[in-house]
Amino acid sequence: MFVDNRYRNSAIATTAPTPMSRGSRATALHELAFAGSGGWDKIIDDVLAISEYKDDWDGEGSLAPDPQVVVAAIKFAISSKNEKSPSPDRVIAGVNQSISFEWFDGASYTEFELSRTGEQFIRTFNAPNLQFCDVQ
Amino acid sequence: MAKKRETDPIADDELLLRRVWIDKFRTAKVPYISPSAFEPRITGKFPDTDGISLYRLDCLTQIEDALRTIQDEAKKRKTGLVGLELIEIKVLIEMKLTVRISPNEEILGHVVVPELNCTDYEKDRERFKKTLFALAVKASSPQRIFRDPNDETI
Repeated sequence: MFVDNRYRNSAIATTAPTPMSRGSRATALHELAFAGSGGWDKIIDDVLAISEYKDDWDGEGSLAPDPQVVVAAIKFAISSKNEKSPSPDRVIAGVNQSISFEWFDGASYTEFELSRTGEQFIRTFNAPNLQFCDVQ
Repeated sequence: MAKKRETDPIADDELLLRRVWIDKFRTAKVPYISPSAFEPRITGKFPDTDGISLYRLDCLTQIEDALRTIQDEAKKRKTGLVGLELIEIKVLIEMKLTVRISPNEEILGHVVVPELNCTDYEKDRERFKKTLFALAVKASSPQRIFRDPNDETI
C-alpha cells in the first residue's frame, strides 16, 4: 500500500481531525457502502487526464497538480481497483495542486484528498436532508 | 442592460455567481457541485488574498460577462456558473460569512467573501471544509446552475 503519510479522519460535523492509521484508512474506504456509477476505469482515465494539466489549467491561474500528488493518486486508484474498493463518483484537481476523490450516497459525502503538502485527508459530511437523484 | 450598479447595496435575495471548472460539475448524482468549487486559491497567479470571488448577476448585462477575464476560449467553455443568494451565504452558521463589494475593472459586480481568504485557509483548512460543503449543497440545486459546461448546447 502506498499510503505512508499522515492520515486524518475528519468527521467535521462532530469532531476535530484525528490521526488515522494506514489500516484504518483502508477500512474506512471499504466501509463506504456505495459505489460510483462509472467504476474505477473511468476514474483512472480522469486521473490521467488531470495528470496532463499544466499551470493555468483552469484559465484562472491555478498551478498544475503536484507531480507527487499525481503519482499518489494513480497508485491509489489502481490499488483500490485491484482491491475492489467502491469506486468514487468523481475525482477532481483542486486549485491548490491537490487531487480529491469524492463519494456520495443518500446520507453523506466523503472525500479523500491528496494534498500538495504530502498529507492525506479523509472527510465525511452527513447530509441527511440532501435529495439525491441521477442527473445524467 | 444591467439591473443594478455595482455600488448599489446587495439585497439578501440577490444572486451571486461563482465560476466552477467543468470537472467539479461531473457526477451522476447530486450534490452536483464539488465543495472544492468554493476552495480559496492559495497558490498560483491569483491567490484569493481578499476572499473568493463572486459576481452579482444583477450587475451583468449577460451571464457570460462573468467569464470575461478567462482569456482562453477553450477554458472559458469549460467553466460553469452557479448562483447563491446573499442570504444563503450569510446564514451559514459555521463561519459567519459576509460578502463585500470589490469593484474590478474588467467585470462589473465583483464581490468577495472575505472570510474565505487564502491566508486563513492555509492556516486551518479543516475549519473551512464544512462551510465549503454547505455552499456546494446550496449551489447544486438545479435552479442555481446557470451555466453547465457539460451542456453541449452552450
